[in-house]
Amino acid sequence: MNGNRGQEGVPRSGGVARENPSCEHESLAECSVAERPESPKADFSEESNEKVIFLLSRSSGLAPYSHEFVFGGSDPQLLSGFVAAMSSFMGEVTGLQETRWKTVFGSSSTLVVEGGEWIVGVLMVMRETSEMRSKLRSVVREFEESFAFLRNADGVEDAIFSQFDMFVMRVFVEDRLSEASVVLKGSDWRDIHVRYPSPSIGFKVTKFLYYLKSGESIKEAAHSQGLSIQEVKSLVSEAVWRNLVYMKYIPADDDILALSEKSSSVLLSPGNPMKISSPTLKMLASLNSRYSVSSLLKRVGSRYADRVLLEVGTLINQGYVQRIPLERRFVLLHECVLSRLMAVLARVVGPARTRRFCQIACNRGLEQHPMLGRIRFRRNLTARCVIDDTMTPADLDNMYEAVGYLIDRIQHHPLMASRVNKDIVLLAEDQCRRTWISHLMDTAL
Amino acid sequence: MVSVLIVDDDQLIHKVLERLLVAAGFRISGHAFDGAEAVEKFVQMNPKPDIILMDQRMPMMSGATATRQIQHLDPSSRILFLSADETVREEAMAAGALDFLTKPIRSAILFEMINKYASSANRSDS
Repeated sequence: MNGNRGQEGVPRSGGVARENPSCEHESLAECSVAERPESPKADFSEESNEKVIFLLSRSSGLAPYSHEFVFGGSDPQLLSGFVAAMSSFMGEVTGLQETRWKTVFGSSSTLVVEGGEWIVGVLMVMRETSEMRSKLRSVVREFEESFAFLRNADGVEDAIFSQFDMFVMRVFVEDRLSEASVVLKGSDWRDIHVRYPSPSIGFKVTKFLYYLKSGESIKEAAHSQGLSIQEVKSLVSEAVWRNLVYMKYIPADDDILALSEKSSSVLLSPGNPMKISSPTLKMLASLNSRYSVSSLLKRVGSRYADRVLLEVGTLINQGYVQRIPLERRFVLLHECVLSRLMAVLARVVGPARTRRFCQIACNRGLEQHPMLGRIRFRRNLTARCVIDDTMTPADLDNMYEAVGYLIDRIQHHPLMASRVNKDIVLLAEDQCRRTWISHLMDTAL
Repeated sequence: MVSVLIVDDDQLIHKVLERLLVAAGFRISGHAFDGAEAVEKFVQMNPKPDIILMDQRMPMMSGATATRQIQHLDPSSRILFLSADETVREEAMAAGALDFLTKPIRSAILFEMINKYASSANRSDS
């Protein structure tokens, strides 16, 4: 199944990554806005970090499912042949069946590979982000569950993937849309012939696009067309999925952002080669995967908020900046619970003994949970998980388990076993829930 | 605290759902990895879970069949289907599911649905 199949008409340039090639403006924000008006020449394909996704059968080497995020970017069938050959070659050479790997070609093409039991998911992006790998992982998992009967099949009709195609669309597009996300529409959208799951969806999308002004946010479009936010998100997702429009993924207030791997060497390099405005540079430099967008905006000054968000949206599109994946949010929530429990234990046995108890627990559990080695105990008796850009969702899962182990050890401390202390533990968990729940509400499952 | 029984054959889904639901203040009362195990667990559980989150495609017994059997055992059981495959919606609803939630689903909507159906159960109990 290919969501783009059936498209004809306007030829578009390929998805070769350049930093706003047509931009002659002084700053990144101006470049972003400059592309807003409808223009026959508008090519928003550069706005998309993701280029192609395909799922490859381990046994046959065939790709039963693929989707091009950018029209005419890269041929999924050609790429799947390359990945199958590469995987098989490396397997022969090393004798290993690696489930997660990536290959970087030049500075702007990365193939992210996430293996399941019998399916290998491959995502071609400009820059790898944990967020994209996490999404790829959920797509592979869903495919293996939904199409277990295809495990030994040689070929199948595309039509059976129509429901799955919608799932992938929701994971990669709808899940990332905030009310502030901006829709970029070229004037050629009418000339692109696409297939929709049903005529009524086609009618609704076409009507929506007809009245949509390029550069409108989801919220503005909902207001101007009298639709709910969710309706607009669905329509926009359908249009993005068929390459009729592109998105600038402006982050929501509750989003927690992080720089993607090796981005800081580009974004924060001397001389500011990407012409990023000072308030945005300040915000980028403060990204530590812990604070929400709204709290960081307060630091840079609310009068710069719109400009900063627009620039950050551009960087999200290009894969320099990412929303932290769900796995990382779970770790942060767990870290909060651990810190609260340490505070409770400190009230019972004192700070020094608490720290010592945690250190001993870490040492004892290290073999079973090596990620315990990444937990630091600070002077104020809070726990900090050391998380870096290269950690995969699976690593973060392991980190979560490691923190969970420590929480369990504290809960079973002999002096924590009384009824009163159990209530305090529940209270600590509840307090963390209150702090963190807003960061978990917008998660796609 | 609303209790939830998770029924899915995917270990990772169990992990993610448990972490998310616990974080949102729900209690996980049990896990089942196929339809037959779900029926067996449901029979043994006392008290019964407020909500059962049910997957469709599972080995041994499908979600729809398990739903039918659980509903037969206890017509007041509250089962929410969670699947990416819209084509099984009708079958799930016919089997006695209260609602069908299409994956990927936003966590906020999942929490809302669980609370909605759990509170309607409490109302009818009282």
